[in-house]
Amino acid sequence: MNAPVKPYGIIAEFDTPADAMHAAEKVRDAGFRRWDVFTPFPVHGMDRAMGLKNSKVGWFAFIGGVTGYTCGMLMIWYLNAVDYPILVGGKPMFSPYSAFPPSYELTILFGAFGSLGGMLFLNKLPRLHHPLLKHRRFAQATHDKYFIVIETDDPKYSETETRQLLETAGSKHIEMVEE
Amino acid sequence: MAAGPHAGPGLELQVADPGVLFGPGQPTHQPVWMSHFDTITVPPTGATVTASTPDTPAAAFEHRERGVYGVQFHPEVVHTPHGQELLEHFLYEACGCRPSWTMSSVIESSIEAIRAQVGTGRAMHWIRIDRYFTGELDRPETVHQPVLCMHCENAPCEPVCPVGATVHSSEGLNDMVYNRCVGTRYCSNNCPYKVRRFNFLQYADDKTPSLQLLHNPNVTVRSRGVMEKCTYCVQRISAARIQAKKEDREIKDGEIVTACQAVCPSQAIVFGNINDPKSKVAARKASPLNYGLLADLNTRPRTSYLARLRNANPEFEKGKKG
Amino acid sequence: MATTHTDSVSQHEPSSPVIGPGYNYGSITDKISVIVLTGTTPLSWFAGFLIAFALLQALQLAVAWTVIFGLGTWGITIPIGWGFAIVNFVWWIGIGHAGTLISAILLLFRQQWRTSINRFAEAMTLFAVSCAGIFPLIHMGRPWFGYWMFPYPSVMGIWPQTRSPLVWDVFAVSTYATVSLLFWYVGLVPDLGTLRDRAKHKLVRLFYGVLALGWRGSAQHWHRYETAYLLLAGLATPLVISVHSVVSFDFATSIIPGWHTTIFPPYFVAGAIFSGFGMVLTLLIPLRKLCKLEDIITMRHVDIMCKVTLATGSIVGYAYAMEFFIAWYSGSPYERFAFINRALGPYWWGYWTMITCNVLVPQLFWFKKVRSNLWIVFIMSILVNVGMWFERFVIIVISLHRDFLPANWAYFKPTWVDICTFIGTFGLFFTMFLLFIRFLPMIAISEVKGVTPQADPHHPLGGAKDGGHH
Repeated sequence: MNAPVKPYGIIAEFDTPADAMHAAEKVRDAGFRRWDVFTPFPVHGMDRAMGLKNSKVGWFAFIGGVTGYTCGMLMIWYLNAVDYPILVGGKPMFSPYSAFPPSYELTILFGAFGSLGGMLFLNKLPRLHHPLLKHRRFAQATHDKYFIVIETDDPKYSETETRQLLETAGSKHIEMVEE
Repeated sequence: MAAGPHAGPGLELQVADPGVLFGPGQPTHQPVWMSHFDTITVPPTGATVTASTPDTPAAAFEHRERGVYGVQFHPEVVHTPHGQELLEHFLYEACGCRPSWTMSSVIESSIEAIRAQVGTGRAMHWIRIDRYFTGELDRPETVHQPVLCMHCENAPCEPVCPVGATVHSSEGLNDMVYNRCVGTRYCSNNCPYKVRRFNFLQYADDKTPSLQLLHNPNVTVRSRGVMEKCTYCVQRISAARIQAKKEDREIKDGEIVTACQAVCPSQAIVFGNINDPKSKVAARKASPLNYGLLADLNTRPRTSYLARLRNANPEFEKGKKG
Repeated sequence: MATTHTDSVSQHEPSSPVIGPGYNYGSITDKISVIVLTGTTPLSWFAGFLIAFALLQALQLAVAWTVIFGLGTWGITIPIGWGFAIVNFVWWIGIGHAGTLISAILLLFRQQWRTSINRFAEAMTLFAVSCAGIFPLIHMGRPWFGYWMFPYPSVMGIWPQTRSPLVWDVFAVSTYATVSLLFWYVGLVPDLGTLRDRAKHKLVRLFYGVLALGWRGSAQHWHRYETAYLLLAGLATPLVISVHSVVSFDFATSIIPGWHTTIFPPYFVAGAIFSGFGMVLTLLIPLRKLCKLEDIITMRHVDIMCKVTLATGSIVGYAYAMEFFIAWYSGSPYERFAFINRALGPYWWGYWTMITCNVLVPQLFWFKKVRSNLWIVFIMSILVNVGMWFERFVIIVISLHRDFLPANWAYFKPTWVDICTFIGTFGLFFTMFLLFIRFLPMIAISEVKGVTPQADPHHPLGGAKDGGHH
């Protein structure tokens, strides 16, 4: 038979967003690093309760937008003024005014790619296989329950103390998650 | 072939095999008119001789597989009483035609076809004569204006083409590039003179081999979905330029004659190099009567007009009221 | 879950509820996901789908006819080079704008009531843009060369002519379609996770699971997700304004009287929102009844949307008056004639339909009695879109048919192909819409849950102990 596999983590269930948030504060203050809260929708104040820093998605979007605008202007300048300049209606070969609408659209397009791509990249999604997705009760996380999961890999994890912490935080149901 | 008999009426034809030309019901002996002095004595290989005269053994022959029929007499004259029937048999049986066409048919059908398209504004002329009437309804005064592409310097049609199918040449022509046109018709919408014509359907027959020989090789045949307009006879301009280059000289004033200019009986159209101060067209443009159509739109049209001055005799005016 | 209200919580309640009473977010999940995950499809869905699919075939026939036989089968001619196709293009794109406005702009303004309708409004945007996108392709004389409008390196060495508003359109509409799709999809991901977790059948779970990208509801993920969602909303807002402005440039940058006017960008955008809200109301009123969603899409939603329709309709009416005034004030005989011809010329019936439906009809929405009567609102929403179709018809066809030189004046009459194509696009729209409401959650489950009082950790219903804010 195989040696017993170390469980992935400990999962604590909460019924209200306030409970989950207060518990998260406790976990944050206890100094855990590898843990997460799971909610059916974003809970206001949870970021602060978990001690999360500002997300970097904005940078991806910004870079995307700047790239889009630059690409648009450069591309149009190159196409119509450098590579194959043709007289058209007495108009100048390159005009920033007529080049603006396509460049503006590309700004938004690349900015959107940056936002979405950055978010997926930073979230490490898509990830179709995860120990939590196999856990039976976890399906409620997308429905109406809140969970805090602390991974066993966390340096501060201890089987008894962590469980105690979560119990005093108000969780009515605590389990182990298999790998 | 052999030297044949003299021409004459009443030569007796003996029909051996009715075939297609004669058909059933034709008398086996009938008079025909011949007028040849040579005669074919042996028909083509594989053909059947269907009738003969004493002097012309192969007076009529048919090769049905190849669809070749021959007679050595005149079926169309009154002296060949049954010739009309022979021709009918040829047309209906051999050629498969039907007796549905009359002389007036081609006129009617052409008019109908043109009306169906023109009536909805789809005429394809590159130059048109606009007519306006002023004055009394029973004694109107007519004013007219030939309108063609103005080849505007600030052409409104050029900047709106998404693929760059209409652009400006360095000689000042508004070039229409047929093979680049995708047919969005924005250029036509933006033309204030509406000189641009669109091929809404495949108007030109470019498939029939014999008609392909008919088309002018210097002018592209436009396909469906392509915009076209007056080109200042760019093929003639090119021809003159090539000739001048070969002879290592400048193009002379009057060397390029556009088609409309060539055909105008009163020489009302002048074409040339407006950069050349000595050219005829520059002289005309210097006239105080010179104006551009809708010039206040700042299209800067190259085609300009000399205003017509009217100085009607007052007696005419009095006569009109009388 | 407590659903009674006490005085201390009354300050948290909006003037009328976002969703009806008696709901906790658990029951919201149930109510919406059951429509998607049910094993049996209601008969009414099949009936609707049959009709929509039949109309879709009519579209395919008309498009094939056009491409095979040529644009001569349409009613267009010289001078009226653009007819039904471009009218329909602008009409459908305009309708799409309401979806983006509801999703994006209302998010930025923190209007919580948007959560009940934003999902299917965005879907409506996507389907409307798909219908619109057909027309620029098929209205070309040689549509098989349509790709020449894209800036790809070609063997001919030639590029698109980027000063043309049609090239701007290519960029704008492509961007709009892509960003709307991304925005819609991003919003869907958490709900797809919900459906994955509630699906009974393995294949169904796989289908939603793949699309959900493995969404777990992690708060760290939500953190970045919210940022991305807000950014997309912030990008989609100027996008919506720019797209219809660029579409209006197709006309505004030309020289034709009636087209050549700087009022078009804001006028078109206002008109787009006006017609889009009309379409959202047209869809929303039967949908909430048939799918029993009256408590999630409430009378308050209908009320607000009627008010927005009134506001944008008034802007459109003002724009009409301004156009007329400026045409007169300009002194240009061409401009003056263009507007008089609209009202009194051969197409006067189109013009007055437009005025009635766009200026007069929405004014009824001042009255609460009218806003609360669903039948009247439904009929008015349809009239709004009829009026907006005629507005584009008036702008495009009437301006073209009589421009500078009277020798060029002509009359436009649509052919059966024109009409069949237009009606067929409804088939495409409703086919896609019916598939959407059957297979995807038509209401943003997580977003609606997120705005209920039970979801607020600072609200007693959300578990707050001290009854106040942090």
